[in-house]
Amino acid sequence: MTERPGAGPATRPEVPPECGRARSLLLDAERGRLPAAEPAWLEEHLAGCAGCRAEAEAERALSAALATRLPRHRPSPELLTDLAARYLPAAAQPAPAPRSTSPSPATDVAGPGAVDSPPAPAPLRPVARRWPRPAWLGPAMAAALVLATVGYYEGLVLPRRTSPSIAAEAVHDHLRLLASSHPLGVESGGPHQVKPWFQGRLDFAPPLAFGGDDDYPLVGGDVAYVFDRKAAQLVFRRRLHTISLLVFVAEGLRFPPAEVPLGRLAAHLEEVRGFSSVVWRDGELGFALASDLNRAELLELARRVASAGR
Amino acid sequence: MRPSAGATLALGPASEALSHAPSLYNLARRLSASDSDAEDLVQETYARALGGAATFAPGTNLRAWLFRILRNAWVDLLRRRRRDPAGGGQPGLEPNSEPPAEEQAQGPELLRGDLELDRLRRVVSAEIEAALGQLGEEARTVVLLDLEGLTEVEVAEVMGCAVGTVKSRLSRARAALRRLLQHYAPPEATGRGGTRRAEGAGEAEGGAGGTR
Repeated sequence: MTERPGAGPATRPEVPPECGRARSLLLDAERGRLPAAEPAWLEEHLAGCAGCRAEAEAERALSAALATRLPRHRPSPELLTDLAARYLPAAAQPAPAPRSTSPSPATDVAGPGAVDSPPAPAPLRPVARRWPRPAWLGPAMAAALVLATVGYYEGLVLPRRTSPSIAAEAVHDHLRLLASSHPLGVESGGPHQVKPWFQGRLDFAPPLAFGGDDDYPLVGGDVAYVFDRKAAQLVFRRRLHTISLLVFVAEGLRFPPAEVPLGRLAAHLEEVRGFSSVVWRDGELGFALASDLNRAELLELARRVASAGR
Repeated sequence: MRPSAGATLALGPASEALSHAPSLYNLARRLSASDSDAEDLVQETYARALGGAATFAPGTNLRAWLFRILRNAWVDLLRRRRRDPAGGGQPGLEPNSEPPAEEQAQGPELLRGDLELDRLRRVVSAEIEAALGQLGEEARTVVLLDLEGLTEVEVAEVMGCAVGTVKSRLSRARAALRRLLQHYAPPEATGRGGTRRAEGAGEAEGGAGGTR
């Protein structure tokens, strides 16, 4: 490790004990595992501590990177087939051909039928590079079994952790906005001022056909992040409520199923940490609203944004 | 009467055990960096779990149990390879002379908060895979198990250690990942991005010393 010139060995800055405690709770908080009183304590500490807030952001970004940027390796259909053939009870499998010493495709019997005597389970073999397939499993059977098995596995494998959601990202960006004491990147003098401000700051052109109105005036804009990409963050107001609208490139993101109609589009509604979020996709772009405003009025804003077009 | 494909409860514990095969394979592949090793490890896991040698008590944590068997099979494989390197396997699995990344007490300092955040957001698959590969074997395993959704208690069960140990291993491993991920590519200039900055951790003069 290179040392900084003029400095001794690199040392970590001292972290106050309260911050140390807060930071030790961050991962559990992210996983929703904190015991009863802790979430409130942590929230309060984070509201007043920029250093820990930055830590929380970084930890969350690391989790997002691990969850979304690390490819998941899938087992081959052959492996799944083989496992199913070895271990599933015979009743779950398509009827196998009678066990024969020299199987060939021509002699396998396909088709449904009760199994009279299930084949004996494959004997335990020592770990070898090749795991010979059970003798009776012909190619037609194997194909049917793969389809059944994979579909079966897909159904049974429950997501143990929900992947980070776009709605959660939007709410986090909104919370960051609320907690920040800094002014917005651009204060609104109208959409004609806000739109050019984004030029050069984003790698796409955010549509600003809806530049606010009397019911939902546009307050300003800034740049935020949705997972790994930059987003335009437009801030609106409705009475005393602040609303964030994030606009970002949709490619590569999985959008949740949309149940709520928005004119020609449809949106997904979600509650995250007490905030409402509306998420939808329109062509190449994704949109997400986040606010403590009530759902009905938030949806109305969503409709206005969606119908304003480009 | 034969249950249709997709029926669940009627088929008994073997089917539930097999439903974890994709997760087991994913971990095995991440640990061994080899498709064939991963397949062998998964086969070995199920052979030990369902082959009749072990009995599984319904109601206990099947998934953690299976991961534990997988991990033990992996450790056994590593030991066999160390004794007989000619037995095959990936060269990268040989024990390093260098201590793993999470144990290096003097790491490069974390960048100022907003730079680090920007950097983390841009990380690509190759970088995070490489960073994961630089962790020690146990650190990598706890990170992957945590990612798989296992609780710390379950991870402790899989690793055969105390929950407190899992907590500290996970914390150090994640800190090491953050340090590694900052330095695979030079950070972008802060002219782009939002004007709003977090008051970053440790506002050192001129930012971190480790510039490239």
